Amino acid sequence: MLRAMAQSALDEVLAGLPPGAEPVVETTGEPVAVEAALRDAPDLGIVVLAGPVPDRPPPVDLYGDLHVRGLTVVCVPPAHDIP
Amino acid sequence: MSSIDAALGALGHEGPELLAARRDVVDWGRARVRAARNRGGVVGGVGVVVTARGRAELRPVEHALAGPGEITVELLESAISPGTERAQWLRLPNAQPDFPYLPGYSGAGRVIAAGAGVSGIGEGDLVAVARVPHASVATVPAAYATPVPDGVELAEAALVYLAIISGYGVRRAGIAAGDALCVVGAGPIGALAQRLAALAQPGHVTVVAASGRREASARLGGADRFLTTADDVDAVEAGIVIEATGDPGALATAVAAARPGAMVVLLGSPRGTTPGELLVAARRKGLRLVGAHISALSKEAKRDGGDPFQELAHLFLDGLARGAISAADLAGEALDAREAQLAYRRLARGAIEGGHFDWTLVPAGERVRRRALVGVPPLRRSPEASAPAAPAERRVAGTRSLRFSLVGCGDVGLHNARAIAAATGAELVASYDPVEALAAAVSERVGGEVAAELDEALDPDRVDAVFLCVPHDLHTPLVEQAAAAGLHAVVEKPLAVDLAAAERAAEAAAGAGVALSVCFPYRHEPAMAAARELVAAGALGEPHGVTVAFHADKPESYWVGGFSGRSPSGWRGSLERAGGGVLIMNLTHYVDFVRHVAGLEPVRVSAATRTEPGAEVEDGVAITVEFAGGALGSVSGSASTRGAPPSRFELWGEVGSLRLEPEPAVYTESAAAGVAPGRWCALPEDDGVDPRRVFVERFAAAVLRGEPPEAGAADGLAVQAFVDAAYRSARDGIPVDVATYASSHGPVRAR
Repeated sequence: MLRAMAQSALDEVLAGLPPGAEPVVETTGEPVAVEAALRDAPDLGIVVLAGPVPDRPPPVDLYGDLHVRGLTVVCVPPAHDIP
Repeated sequence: MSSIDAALGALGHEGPELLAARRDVVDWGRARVRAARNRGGVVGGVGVVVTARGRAELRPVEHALAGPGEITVELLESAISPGTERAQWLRLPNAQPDFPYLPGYSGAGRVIAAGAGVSGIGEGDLVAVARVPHASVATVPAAYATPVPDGVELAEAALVYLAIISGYGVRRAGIAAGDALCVVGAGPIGALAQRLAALAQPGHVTVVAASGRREASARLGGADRFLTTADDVDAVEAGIVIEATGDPGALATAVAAARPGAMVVLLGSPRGTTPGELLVAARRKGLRLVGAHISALSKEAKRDGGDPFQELAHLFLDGLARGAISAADLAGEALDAREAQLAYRRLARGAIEGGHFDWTLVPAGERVRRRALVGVPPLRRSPEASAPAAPAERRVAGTRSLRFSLVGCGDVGLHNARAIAAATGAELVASYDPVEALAAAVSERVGGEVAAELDEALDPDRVDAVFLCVPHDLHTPLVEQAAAAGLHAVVEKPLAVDLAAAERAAEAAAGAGVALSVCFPYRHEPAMAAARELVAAGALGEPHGVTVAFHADKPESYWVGGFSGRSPSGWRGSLERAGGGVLIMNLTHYVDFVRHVAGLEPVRVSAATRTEPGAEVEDGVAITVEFAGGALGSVSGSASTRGAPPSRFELWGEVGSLRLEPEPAVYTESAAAGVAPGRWCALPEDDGVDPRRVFVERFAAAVLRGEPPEAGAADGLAVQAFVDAAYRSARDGIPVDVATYASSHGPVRAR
C-alpha cells in the first residue's frame, strides 16, 4: 500500500516536470547516493529525491551543485507523510 | 620564486605587500599587452584591493583602453554587495578569494572610450556596469553595460548587478500573478528580489528578516506582512519562497515558511553546510529547491541563447526610470573608497547595512590618468612612510617683547633661560638663584643681568613675567609672590608640590588677573603637534585607549644634584619638597600629552607604586586609568630601568592608532586625516627647533595679546589632580576619582 502511494507521488512529481526534462531520480535515500545524484545531474538539471528519508541525515553542501549549477531538487514526500 | 618576486623582494617587499606589489606589476603588464594588441593606449586609476585578512587599500589599476567590443568607463559609483563582500571580508565558507583580490562587481559611470563594433553606447554616455570591481576606471565588454535612463540616480543604477542577481532568483521562481510569495532576508539582495518580484504582481507578500531593522525597507517594497525569525514563520504557507541570505539558519526559515509542495529558491549563496534535518523537512513537505546562483544564468544563456543579463538589467533600470521600482534606500551611504578598510570593518560588525563607494570623493587626478604604453613597470621600493605635513609656522612674530626674569638657575633653569633668549617676543632681563654663581653662569652664557635679591627678579617695573625653575614646594609661594607683584608666571612642571598647593597658585593668579602657565614644552615637538592635528582631523575616531611606559635609568647622583650636578640639592628625593617621584617628576608630561593630543580627561585611577628601601619618593608606578567617554589607559613609569629601553607611548581609537614613542607614526583608516589610509606613516621628526623656545614664544604672544596661555592653570590643575588621585589610590589601595577643573581664569591683564 505504502509503496503504491509512494509510486503514485513520484508519478505525480514526474508528470509535473517541464516537457523534455530528464531528471535524475534518486530512489535509495542513501546519503552517498543523494550526493552522487546531485553531482551527476547536468547543469540546470533536475534531481528527484524519491528514496526513504534517513533517520540521521548528514549535513549537505548545497553550494557547489544545487546553488552554483542551478539544479532543481524535487522532493517527493516519504510515503508515510503522504496524507 | 618568480623574477618579479625576486625583484620586489630585493626592493623590500615581503608577505602580503609583496603579493599586492606583484599584482600591480602583473596588472601593469597585462594592460600593456592588451593595449598593444588593440593598438590603443592605457588608462590608469585606483581600485580597492584586499591584500590580507582585514586589510584593504587603494592601489593602482591599469587597463588597456577599449578594444573591439569593449568600453572603458570612468566609474563614479560602485555598489557594495553587503552579503557577499561581508562574507569575503570575514572569510566565511564559500567566500574566500585568494589574496590580493579586488572586491565588488557592480557600478555606474561615464564611458570614456568605446571600441570598434560597439553599438548603442558611445563616449560620454552614462552606463550601469555589471561585473566590475570597486575601481575608478575599468575596461569591460560592452555587453556588461546598460545605458542609464534619464532621471535615474547613478548610485541606484550602480546596483545593477545586484539587481541582475536578484532578478535571476525571481526569474527562477517563475512568479505568476496572485502567487503567495515570501522573501527571507531584507538586505539589498532580498529587497531587490522583493521589488522585482512585485512587477509580476504576486498575491500576498511576506518578508522575513533576522530583526526588525529593515521593516521600513520591506514595507516600501510592498510587503504585506513583515516577520522576524522569532515570529511564527510556519504560518506563512507561501507557495514560493525566495531565500536571499545564504545563512543556513535562514534556509530553515525558508523551508518553514513554505507550504507543502512549494518552491524554495536559493538565491543567497549558502555560507556553510546545510543540516541534514533541513533536507528531511523539505522532503516531508515535498518542496522543490531551486538553485539560483548568478553563474547559472550564464549557463542558461549558453543553453537558450539571448542575453538574459541585459534583459534583467533593463528590467531594473527601466523600473527605476518608470518609478515602478525604488532603490534609493538600497544605495545606502556614500563611502570614500580611500576608507575601504574602514567601510568593510563597519560592514562586518553591522554598523552599516549597505552603501556604495562614491569615486568622486577621490581626487580627480588619481581617478583617471592616461598612461604611457611604454614605460618602467611599477617595481617600486616598499612604500616609504609618508609623513604628514609639518605643523604650521611655529614662530610667533610680534613687535613687542615680554620681559622675563628667571628664578632658579639649576639644570632646567638654564634650558629655559636659553629658550627665553632665543624666543621671538621674549627677553631675558634678569636671573636669580640663591646660589649666585648659578645665576651668574646663566647671565654669562645666555645674557640678562644677575638679580642679587629675589625682589629684584620680581620687580614689575623691570619685568612682565617670571619663569620659575625651583623645587616643587617653592612653586606656589613664588607664584603668589609674583601674582601679588602683578607678574605673569610660568612654572616648570608640575604646577605645584600637591593639589592643594596647585589650587592656591591658580587662585592667586586668577585673583591678580595674571597669566599662569605650566611649562609643558614637549607639546610643541613636531610629532606631538602633528599628532594633535591628526586627532582633530579624525585619525583616531573615538579614542579607545592609551599606553604609556616611561623608562629612565637615573644614576644615584641624580638624587643629590640632578643630571648635571651643577646645583647640588637633595630636594628631588624629598617627599615634602618634590611631592613624589617618577610620577610627578616625569609622567606629568605624558598626562598632559594625553589631554592635549587626544582630549582625553582622566576620571578614575587605580595605582600602585614601588619605592626603594630607605627612599621617600617612588621609583616606579603603575596606573590603570579610566577616561571620560570610556577610553582606558595604562600608565607606568620607572626611574631605574637599567639600560633605559625606549619608552612607549601609544594612543588608539576606533579608526586609527598613534605611536608617539618610539619612532612616532600614525595609522588610520580615515581619509580625512590627510595621510595614506591603511598604512603606518611616520610623523615629522625633530626639526631642530627647541620646543621650549616655541613654548615661550606662544606664552609671550598670548600674554601680549591679553589672552590666556595655551598650557594654563586649568591644564596644570588637571595634571596635578591626576597625580594626586594616583598617589591616594596607591596609598589607600582603592580606585580614586580624579578631580576635574574648569578653567579658573578670567581675562588676563595685558602688559
